[in-house]
Amino acid sequence: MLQEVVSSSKAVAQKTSAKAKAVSVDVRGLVKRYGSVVGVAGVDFHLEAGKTATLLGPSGCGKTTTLRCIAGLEIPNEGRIGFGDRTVYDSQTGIVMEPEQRNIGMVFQSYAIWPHMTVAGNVGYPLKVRKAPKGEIAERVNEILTLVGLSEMETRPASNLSGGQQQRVALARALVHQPRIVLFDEPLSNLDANLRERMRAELLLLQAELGFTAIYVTHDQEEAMALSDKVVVMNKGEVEQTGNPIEVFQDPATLFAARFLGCSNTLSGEVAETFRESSVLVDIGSGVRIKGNWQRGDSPRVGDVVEVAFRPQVVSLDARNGHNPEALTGQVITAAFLGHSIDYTIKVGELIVRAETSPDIFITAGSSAEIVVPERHVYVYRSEDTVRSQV
Amino acid sequence: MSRTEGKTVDIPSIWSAEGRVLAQASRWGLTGVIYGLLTLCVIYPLAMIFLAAFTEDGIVAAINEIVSSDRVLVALWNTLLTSVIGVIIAGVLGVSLAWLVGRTNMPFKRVLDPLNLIPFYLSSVVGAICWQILASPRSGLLNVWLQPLLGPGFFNIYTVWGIGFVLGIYYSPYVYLFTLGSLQSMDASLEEASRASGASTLQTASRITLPLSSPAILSAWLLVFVSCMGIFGVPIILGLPGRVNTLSTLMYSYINDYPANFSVTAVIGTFLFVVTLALTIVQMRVLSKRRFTTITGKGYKPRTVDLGKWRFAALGANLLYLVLVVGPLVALLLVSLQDIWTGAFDLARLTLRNYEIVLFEDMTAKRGLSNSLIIATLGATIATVVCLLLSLVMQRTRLPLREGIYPFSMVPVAIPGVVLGVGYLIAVVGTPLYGTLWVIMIAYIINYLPTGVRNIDSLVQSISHELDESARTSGASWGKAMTSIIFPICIPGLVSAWILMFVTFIREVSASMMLFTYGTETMSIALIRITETSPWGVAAAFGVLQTVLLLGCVAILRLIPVGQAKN
Repeated sequence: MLQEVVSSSKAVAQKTSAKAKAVSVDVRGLVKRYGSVVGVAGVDFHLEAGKTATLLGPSGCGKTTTLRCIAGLEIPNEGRIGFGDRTVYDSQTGIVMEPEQRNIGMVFQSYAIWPHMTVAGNVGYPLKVRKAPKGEIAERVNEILTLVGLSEMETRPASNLSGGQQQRVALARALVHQPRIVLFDEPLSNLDANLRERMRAELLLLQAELGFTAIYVTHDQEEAMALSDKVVVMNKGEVEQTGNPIEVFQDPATLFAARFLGCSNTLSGEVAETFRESSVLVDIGSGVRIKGNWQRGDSPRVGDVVEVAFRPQVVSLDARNGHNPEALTGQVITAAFLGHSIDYTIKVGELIVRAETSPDIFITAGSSAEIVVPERHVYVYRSEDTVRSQV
Repeated sequence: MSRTEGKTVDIPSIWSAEGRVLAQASRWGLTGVIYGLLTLCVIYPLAMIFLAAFTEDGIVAAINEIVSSDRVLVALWNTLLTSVIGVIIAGVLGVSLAWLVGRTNMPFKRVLDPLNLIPFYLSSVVGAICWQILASPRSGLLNVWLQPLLGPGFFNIYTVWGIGFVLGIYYSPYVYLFTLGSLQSMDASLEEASRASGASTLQTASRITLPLSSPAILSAWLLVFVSCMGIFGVPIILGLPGRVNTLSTLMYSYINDYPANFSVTAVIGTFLFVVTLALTIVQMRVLSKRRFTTITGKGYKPRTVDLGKWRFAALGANLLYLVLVVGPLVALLLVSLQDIWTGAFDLARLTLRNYEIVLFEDMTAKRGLSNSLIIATLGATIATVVCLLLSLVMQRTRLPLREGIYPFSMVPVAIPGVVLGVGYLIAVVGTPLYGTLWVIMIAYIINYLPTGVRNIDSLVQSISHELDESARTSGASWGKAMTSIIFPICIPGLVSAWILMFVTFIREVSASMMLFTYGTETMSIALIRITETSPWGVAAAFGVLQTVLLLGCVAILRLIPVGQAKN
């Protein structure tokens, strides 16, 4: 399937497009309020032409609202949105372009396939409302359907398609008029795991062939990493961090970003000692001390209240005792075999630590174990309330 | 797409700041038009009634009238009595039939379910005429047949009891629908938990099922009571011979006095409005509590109660109800086929002459039929378009103050048809609109506005926003998205809504009775006139005609697929 799509997409892309010239997307100071509730509280990001950005965050973080503002489906209260050198929204000069004037494509979470039309009717709609000649519509619908792997489905009524097929129709409809910007609202969340991985790969190929600028909205960090050149981590209507996937994953700027990107171990403590560079030793109570990296903000001082975060995957366990003088000693409370890994809950003093290790060695619940958390994978942040008061 | 903003543009684009001011102004203009029209059509006639009732002369005249004769107080008493009898009969019938169909293993319940709704679609005026044929004291069929057993004139439909009885039969589908709806949306595990706790089927029904449905049932009772208080057709047919006046028929006779007594009519109308408003508010309060007991779409099928041998008794009871509904219609048909009604069907007297009269000769009948067809066709079309437009404005635009449109359009719920008719009468008397079909049509549309807006609004609401948003991001303008996406998806629902309005308008009595003049009789008015002036056979033929028309519409309605294309 993937091979087919690759070869056919190349052929079609060569034949038809004159790659649509992608444009950049620039969002500045975007604010959207619903009455007294603030949905988006000053979002800024810039995405270069032809690149992909992902708005990543939990539900209610404002990522979908931001996307809908970019599409023109919501009218923001403040800020500016530019597509290349074109301003589509500006609260200062009063420019508000309607969605149909922005020349975008959009794939909706529900796919929004029109049930009263055929597949071709759905896909050809953007061309029809642009008053393209009938012959051209038919030709381009045929091409784009081939591209998304739905050739010869034109006359099917759109009301009885499988989830995957609906997804492809929605995609074809968003691409058929060669928009410069394509927006995706959780496009893969309604698909089962296998199909999701395949569609993810196909999306990347399509973008490479057609060369549009893409913005995704997702709450799935893996999807965000896989799809994008730029990840915008959002929380409570604000941007927590913007960067390429590797930066964001390896160097989460805030405690929220760290938590959202998989650091399920977060412990509170006090700075016990500071070293050069950004290395700090944190006392997390019950006589447990852990070394980590100071992430952002003014340099730490001894006695500062901080949060320590690390991923369960970076924890290494050893059943032998007294083996490593640097290690912490704890007791395994639960051990769950998950196939490709083992999930442990370990009690260290009064603290609970989660660890996920390779399934080579299985330590049974009740036994004691030594725990090592490598310093470069431990992120230290100033405690949330202190951070807030500084901002 | 080589648009560059700002610099050398002379004419303000509508996306520029100046253009936005214009766009904003036109949006407020549209809001003004909507609110203005609603005020004119809903508030103005109401205000005219209040004015007529509360001018100094009006109040004095009304007090004089009420003090000097007991007509008003007797009519009030009759109204309350008929309404209470109606609610009790409709309440018992509706709840028991709904429980039998919704929760028991009564045989043939799937067939019986739609049949139990028949009176919902028929005209209660026709029903009253049927019962007149069956149970008028001297020549009623039942009295003639059962004379040897019960003596002469045992049944007398021309009484408060008779009116209440017919109201009860005709309003039972309302209670039935509300109760059945509540039973069907109830989480089955609530009842299963009762059974698991050791309660019997009957204990479960009486302690769990019915109490949980009680908000729906109570709300239906209130609705029926309010409707009975304002109803006109049944009491005018059955009350006239026995001089039983209700408030609505009394209003009519004051209007037809010479000179017309608008002030007393207006006082009675105001009273009916206030009572209806108060009970409607109570009803909505009760109904809003229903959320507690329902659970959405888990797909559990409630376990049916095994009635054992009693299930045949249940079947018998349900069939008896249908006999009470359909039997009189058969009597009507028989009477319509006889040249002279002798109290018994005589094959030798079989004739279609009565149909010939109502279709081709009787001018009142011909006018009534054509007037109603015109009003119903045009009115249902206009009402559908208006309700659709209002729903689109409420749900698919950012028009200022759009949230207020829905409650505003619900105001007529509290205005009984007679009261609305009087309001329109006072409002248009002396204007060129007086005595036209158009004012009757507008009154119909306003009378039906709450139901129409509620139905079509929920229809539009059931269509995912993403369906038209995806049209917008595909490049379609708002109008194009509405006409090419929302409208086609709505069509089946709109056709159903249209037919329901058509049915309602064909059989309407109350508002028309206040507004008709010579030449603008509607079908129901013509039917009432004919019962007063022509032999029973002619009236029966006209009644059969209307019933066939209404049942035809219902048959079409049932053929329309419902709930498709919801996405």
